[in-house]
Amino acid sequence: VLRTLALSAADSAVQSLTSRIEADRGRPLRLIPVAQEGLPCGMWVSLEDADLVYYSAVASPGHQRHIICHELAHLLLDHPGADVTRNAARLLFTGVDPRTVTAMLSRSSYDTAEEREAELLATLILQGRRTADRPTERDARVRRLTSAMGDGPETD
Amino acid sequence: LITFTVLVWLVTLAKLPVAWRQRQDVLARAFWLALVSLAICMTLDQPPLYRAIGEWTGVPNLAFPITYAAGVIAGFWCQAFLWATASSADAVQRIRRRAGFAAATVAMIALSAPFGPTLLPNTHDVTHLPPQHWGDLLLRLSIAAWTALSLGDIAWLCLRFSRQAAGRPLRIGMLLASAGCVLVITRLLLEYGVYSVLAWHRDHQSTGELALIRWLNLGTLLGFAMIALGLGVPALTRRVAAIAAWVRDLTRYRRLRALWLALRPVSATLNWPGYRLPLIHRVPLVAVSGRLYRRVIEIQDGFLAIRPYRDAELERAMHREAIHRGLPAHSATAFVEARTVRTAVEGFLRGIPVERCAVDTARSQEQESQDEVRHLLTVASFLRD
Repeated sequence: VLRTLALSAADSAVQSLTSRIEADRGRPLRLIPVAQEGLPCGMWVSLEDADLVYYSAVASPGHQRHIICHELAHLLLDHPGADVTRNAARLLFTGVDPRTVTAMLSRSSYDTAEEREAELLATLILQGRRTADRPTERDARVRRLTSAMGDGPETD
Repeated sequence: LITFTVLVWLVTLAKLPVAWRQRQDVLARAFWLALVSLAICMTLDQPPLYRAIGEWTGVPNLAFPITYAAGVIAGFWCQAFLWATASSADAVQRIRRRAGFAAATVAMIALSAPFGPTLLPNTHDVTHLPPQHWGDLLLRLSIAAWTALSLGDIAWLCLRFSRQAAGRPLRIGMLLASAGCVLVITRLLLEYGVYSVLAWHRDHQSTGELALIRWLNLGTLLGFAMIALGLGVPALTRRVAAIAAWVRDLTRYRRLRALWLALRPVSATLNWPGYRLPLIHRVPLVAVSGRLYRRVIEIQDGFLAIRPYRDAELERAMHREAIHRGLPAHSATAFVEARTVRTAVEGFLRGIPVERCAVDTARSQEQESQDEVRHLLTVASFLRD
């Protein structure tokens, strides 16, 4: 999955994954920060016509990116999600019609293979991503030169 | 002399994996061929090998024309690489013209060698003696002409790339390569151009002349080494930066251990799922940045888990202590987190939530991951106090 994503270091992982998933699934994906205590720090909720990813509003930016990527990993890996009772959905979310919730997964433990896989993929996506510490070569010829010399981003 | 040759071979070998990976790419191939031709040229110019080639083949000074032919080929590949990269509209025509010129120079070297150096005793000194036969003179003048035009071309292209490059290592590398070309041009024009004409058919050489020529030869070797080093500088700089980052990440990973251990009871369910992880990631000192990333995420998971169990009263007291100690604002927050983490963990394990803490662990959205790691390191440092 990671190879097929082919994310470049310059990409914003969350933005590019969100756009890709929206295009693949043909429906909107919304990222919603939640400040409510007692909920898992991240959740994916599948509605009939959209995907919602809830993440902790009080987590640090880097932690939020990881939580969101974990939930997006579920979608990339085509995890089915667990059935959720409408009562539970009503208790958990405000602003969502519980009748439209079809499945959900939350980042709270690694008891299931799906959670372990999603955490692994989120880690692999984000662990090697650092902001470029070299200036980007503006000139295409210089980019070709560095690439052929084995110093370009394409080769290393 | 051998140091420069070894240096060029090291750069050539260091580039081999990249050349192999990009073997379909004409540019990458041309670049590596330029390096390997240069390395062969410098190796053949080593006096013991130079003499040995003459002895093995029975053709005195055979290494002389071969060395320079290899030099011409190296120069051509370098020109081809740079012109193909520069990709001007007439790059193909330019490369063809240069190929023709290189072929003509090699042909001239091959034609003149039997009437020049091969008629003299088999010694490396022949390369620095005044030309004795017309073949000698022709060979040297051919080399001088090729040097002036081709290496001049390379020096100019490198200088152009140096000015266009945004990255400092590439700028310096290209400048170094350009300066190396100028050194080689200077020496070969002086010795094989000017000196060859002035000393033509002289059968003696003063000590001063010999010393000057030897020094000039050192300039050539230094020039070739500068060219090779210049082409390798950008990649070498990255390697050095990678090593520095590895050391920094390893230090941070170890310094965060105390904090990670303190939070481990609450984030046990969030610990790294080691299953299906490639074996290489489990070897110590390997994949350090990945391990550091996991440690930071697990610590942050821990902080989120204990958030409802933090004792606001205790934290206010700790904050007062931090101010009393004269700690700056950021350190004060870290100090409070470190001092109260055990209490919160205990609360989590006993399942007794306390009122929400007044000190917010969350930081602004603008702060980047590096700031988060630095903050956790500060927390960890207070935890060890």
